[in-house]
Amino acid sequence: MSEEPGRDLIVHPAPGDLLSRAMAREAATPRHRAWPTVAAAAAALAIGLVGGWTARGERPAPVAEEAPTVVVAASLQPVSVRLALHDPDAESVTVAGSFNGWNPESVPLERAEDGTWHGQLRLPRGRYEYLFVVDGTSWVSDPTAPLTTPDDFGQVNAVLDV
Amino acid sequence: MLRTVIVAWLALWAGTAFGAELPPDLAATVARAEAEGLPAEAVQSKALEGLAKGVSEARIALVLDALVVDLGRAREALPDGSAEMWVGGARALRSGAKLEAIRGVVGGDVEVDARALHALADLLALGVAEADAVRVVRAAGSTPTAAADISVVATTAAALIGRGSSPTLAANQVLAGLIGQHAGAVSLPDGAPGKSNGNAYGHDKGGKGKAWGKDR
Repeated sequence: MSEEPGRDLIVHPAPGDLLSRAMAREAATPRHRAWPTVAAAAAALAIGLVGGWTARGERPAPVAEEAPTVVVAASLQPVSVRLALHDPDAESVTVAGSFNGWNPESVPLERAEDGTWHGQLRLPRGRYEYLFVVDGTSWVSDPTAPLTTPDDFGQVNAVLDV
Repeated sequence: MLRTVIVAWLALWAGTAFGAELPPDLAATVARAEAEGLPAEAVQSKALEGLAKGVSEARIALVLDALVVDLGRAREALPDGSAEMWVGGARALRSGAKLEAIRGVVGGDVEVDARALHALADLLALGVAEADAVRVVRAAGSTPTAAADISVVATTAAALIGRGSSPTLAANQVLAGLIGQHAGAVSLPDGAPGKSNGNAYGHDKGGKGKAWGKDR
């Protein structure tokens, strides 16, 4: 299966214009910030500390370099989605989700020289949940996913809305 | 140059026959959902997810039972809805939405409504109050680009919360962003900033909000 990038419309699932406008609103009304800066910094630190471990707490979480990128071939289905995870220490990385029956073996990612693992999915439009599976055992949420959701089993899944 | 792995989307269909590869108790729950006319794919997917993650069958069974109940309640609230709408509605109910709230964000377009219900669930999971979440989703659903706008309200709120906004403030910021992006086109629900408070779900009296502007 080949791609024709020049004919693709690239769409980022990040909120884009809406976030910019919402943040402009935020900048215009700083007095309405409900969380004190110190508390926000503490929360961010806490998130960073907690986020530094996988759900099983066995290894530091790898880092993704960029948010998932969705490439939409204009007016055509399915949608092409690129995922990446930076984890130089991993022996293998796969992606499992609602698009492949949560099979941790069906979608292997490929390691680049810098330790970033890349993969590309072709999916029908819809909403999907997914996780990376590192070394076949550690289920890792996508650090750059713009949205996560509880999985009802005590962890969270990354959300992909294409 | 980095190479990528191309995965055929046909992987979507791998192992998705109802009840396949599931222990008998879990397969029975999937079959029950199918027999009741509920979206069994969602139940099967959740079972496969739990098994893949190493969750005990007993716990998976509890989650599946709750999911089937929520799907049934969502269908009861939205009897004319699609399977994906019921899945979104079930997620919203799981996140604490009341039946009135999930009825309050649908407007008659099946695809948009499914996204609206998922957005409602996501906003609630982020800690946004139900009434605020409904207002945001309804406002996004009233824009000329409703499907796209609804798809990003939760990610926008999540980004704002990640930057320090409270869930309430983030909801108001998203609402303001929608208004700024679609000046004059957003049907501003009652209770939104700059609008006098009405009922919690803000049925639009102005009639600009497509089906969102109608009592259903």
